Amino acid sequence: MKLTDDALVAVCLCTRLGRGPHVVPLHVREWTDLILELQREHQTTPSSLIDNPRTERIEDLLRGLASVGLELERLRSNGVWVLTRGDEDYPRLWKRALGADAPPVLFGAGPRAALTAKLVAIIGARKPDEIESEFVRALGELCARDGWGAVADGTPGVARLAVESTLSAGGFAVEIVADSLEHALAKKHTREAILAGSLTVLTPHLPDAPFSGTRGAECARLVEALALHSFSKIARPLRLPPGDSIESAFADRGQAEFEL
Amino acid sequence: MSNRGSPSGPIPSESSKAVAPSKTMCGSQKGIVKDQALQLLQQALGPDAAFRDGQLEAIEGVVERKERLLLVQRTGWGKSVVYFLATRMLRDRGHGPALLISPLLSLIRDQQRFADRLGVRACRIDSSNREEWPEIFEKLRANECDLLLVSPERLSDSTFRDEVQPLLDPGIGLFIVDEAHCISDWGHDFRPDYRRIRNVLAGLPRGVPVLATTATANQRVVEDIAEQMGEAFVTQRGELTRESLRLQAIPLRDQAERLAWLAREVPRLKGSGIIYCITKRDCETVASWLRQHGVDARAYHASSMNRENLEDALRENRTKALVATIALGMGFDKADLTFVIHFQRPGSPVAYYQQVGRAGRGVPEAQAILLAGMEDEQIHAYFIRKSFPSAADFASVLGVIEGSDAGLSRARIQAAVNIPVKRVDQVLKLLLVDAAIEKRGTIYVRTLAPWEPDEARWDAVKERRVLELGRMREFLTTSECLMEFIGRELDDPNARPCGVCATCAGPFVETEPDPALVRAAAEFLNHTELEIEPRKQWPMTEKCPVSGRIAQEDRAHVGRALAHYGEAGLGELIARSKESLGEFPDELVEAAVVLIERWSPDPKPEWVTCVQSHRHPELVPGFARRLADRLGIPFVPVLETIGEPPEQRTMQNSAHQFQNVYRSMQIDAGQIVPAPVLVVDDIVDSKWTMTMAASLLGSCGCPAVFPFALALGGASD
Repeated sequence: MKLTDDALVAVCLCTRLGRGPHVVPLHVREWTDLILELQREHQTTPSSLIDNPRTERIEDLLRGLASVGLELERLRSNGVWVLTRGDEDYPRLWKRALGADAPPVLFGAGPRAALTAKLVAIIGARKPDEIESEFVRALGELCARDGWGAVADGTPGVARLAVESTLSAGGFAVEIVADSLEHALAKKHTREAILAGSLTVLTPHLPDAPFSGTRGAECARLVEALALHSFSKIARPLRLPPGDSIESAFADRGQAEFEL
Repeated sequence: MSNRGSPSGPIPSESSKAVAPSKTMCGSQKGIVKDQALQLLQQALGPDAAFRDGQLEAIEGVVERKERLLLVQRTGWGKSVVYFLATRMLRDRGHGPALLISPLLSLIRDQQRFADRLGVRACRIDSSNREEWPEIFEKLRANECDLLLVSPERLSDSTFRDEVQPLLDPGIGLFIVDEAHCISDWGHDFRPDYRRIRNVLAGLPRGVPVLATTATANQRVVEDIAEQMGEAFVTQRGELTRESLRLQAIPLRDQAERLAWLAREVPRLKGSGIIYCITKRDCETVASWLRQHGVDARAYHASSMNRENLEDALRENRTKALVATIALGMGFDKADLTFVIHFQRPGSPVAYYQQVGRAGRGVPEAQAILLAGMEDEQIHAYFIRKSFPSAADFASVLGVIEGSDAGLSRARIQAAVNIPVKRVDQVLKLLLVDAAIEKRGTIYVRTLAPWEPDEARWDAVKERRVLELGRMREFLTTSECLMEFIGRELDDPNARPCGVCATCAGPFVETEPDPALVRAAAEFLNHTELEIEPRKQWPMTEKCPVSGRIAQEDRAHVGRALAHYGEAGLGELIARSKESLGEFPDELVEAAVVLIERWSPDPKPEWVTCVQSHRHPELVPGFARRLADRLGIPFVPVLETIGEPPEQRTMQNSAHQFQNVYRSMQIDAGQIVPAPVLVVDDIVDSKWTMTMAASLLGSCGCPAVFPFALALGGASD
């Protein structure tokens, strides 16, 4: 997929990819305001900033375009794509749920179509007990059977178990990771699942950014926002609802209601 | 794609098709560039300085129009003038530092002076100056570097990516690719690391000018470079021939004839020059032969010590000639180099042109003489065959990395596959540039990029090289003007008879070697002593029970071998005896005796033993027994091989070779004579057999172990 100039400019202004820590990228709100301004007042898109940067700050940031381009090309040749808010396959659910805070740039690998498919968010303890684990496994199998994907944040415990059980039941899954995309991709089983087309891994942070509390919270938020349904609290008593399908499990319920 | 105009929700569309026309950042400088460039040039080189053909156009293209430009200009045309001036002018306009990718990074003194006068601050980052990196990073951080020279390997290196690239502030201002023909695998000098440049170029946004230069590219290579550089590429071609250069080609029968020719002709040549050989060993042989005949010649190759001193000696005419492999190549600039002789023919007309192009840059007349013999083609054919690892090699290396969970180090990969170390490196390099793997620190990690061996392309490249070899054969016997022939091979539109080559103006050196010198050279070649350097280190492998340095008392002394296996003369006789006769003839025993007398190992061996082989149980012991008789000392077979290990030469790298020997060799300690010993083997390859034998003998009380082999095999080279 050839990167558009719009996407290149988005990465250059909203992240410090390929550049040093001294670079201060635009805050997501600043970026949103800039886009609105470009669109309303100038009827144009971000790529026009290359020739007409408008402010000194943007001009400064855009001087790093070459470095950004090089880094993106390296990532691309390694199989990592970049998803920006301007892309057609950017998940509408994020735009709807997060509005102006929707992440402007994400890096990932694996099929992008999974991001706009029917997803169930599965969030839970890092150290689930046997009953919780059993429930998550059953849920994963149910997802796989009914054609739903599991979306989780890739942390140990419930999140990882959810993805594993969905995949091993022949389903598909999405992981939004807060702990270095590059590390995740070095793992053999992750790579194999991605190459098999059943797993999509992505991050709203730089591909080599290590875990932090804030990053973890942001990913958890994205996980919930990406799913039509969410098991955000796995608590007792645990049992799959009568009817035994994802649709029936969530029938007539909003997301927030389904906290067991 | 465009859903502009329907701003549903708070997030506007960020996709675009049309970009509003607007002013460009440097649009106002048109015309001024020319004046400024000339002013800067004269400021650096004096008021009379003027641009050569094409230089100013190139600078304008880069500075004014931000072009992606490929310059095909002959060596010595003055590309550095373009590099430095363009860098200076772009920096003055607020652009980031220039990044110069070159396989050869030392700025020679003239260039350095020129850069200084222009105020272009150049820094270099390559594997040889690691200790200076922190200082250079500091300069980059302080924006005190205008031009960063980087070797192509660095592009695949995580340090460069993580530490250097972020410091290029405000981003790369100009991207320069020196010796751009290295990008093309059709070129004679293809370097896998250069393939990385293709990706870099694909990632450079518009507005960053690119300057690529080469002196040696035919149309096929130019097209290939242009394709990789992307659309909107401008090519500028200059005239390639050099009027001062006189060419002559002399086919001779064998090495002895060519050595004889050199001994007589080199002293007659004016000034100093380069004698090119294909292999390191040929360099050493030719240099030592010439020194015996009173010519101050020195060998220069990738393993030479003090390469810079050697280059200086030639540059300052303190030596008559450097006998060099192509390791003395791109970037070596000596204006008054008066001759280039080829001891063997180069693999292609393009390579030939590049090598002879080092002569006659600043002198009215220089000579380039191509000697060629029968063995050249075989050597080249061998190199062509070996130019790509096999699909199976790729599969096993990739498989090992793929099977690991967090990547593997080079040593671990080597230990896991039965492939020669050099070929493992070659495979790793090619996989790196194809992005099938990535190097993080010292660990190789599999990426998500799919990878399939592209055998069709490799075959096509090999075929092309065979064809080019054929063109060199043609060159040897052509009745055309030699320079015109080469010019046409390089698709120089201006190729025409030069009027000074051996075809146009008659031969300028004698072509017949002196028969007495030919005999002396043949004798010399027969007596070139081959040493067996003992191994000093146990291999790095998990399964190895010993490790680290080999203790002095367990180590072999420097040994000797009669010949290279299969090589004309004794080497051929050894190969024939081993493969068909089943016995080594007395002629070889006599040759060994002569060699050992000349060698006179100290302390003198008092007995002989040998390495046993199950496949040929009598071959080596038979020879060793007769040799011991002739030396007048006893033969005691104490080394035994247990089991039936596979032949050592099927073991492809140190770790595997060692394990193979370690498992199978035993010593009969009861029969040991505690005195200096000569250990005989037929062919020494990895040297692990000899190392193991020496260690066993040493630990049983032999004070000195001298290896002797009939022949050296290929792997020890």
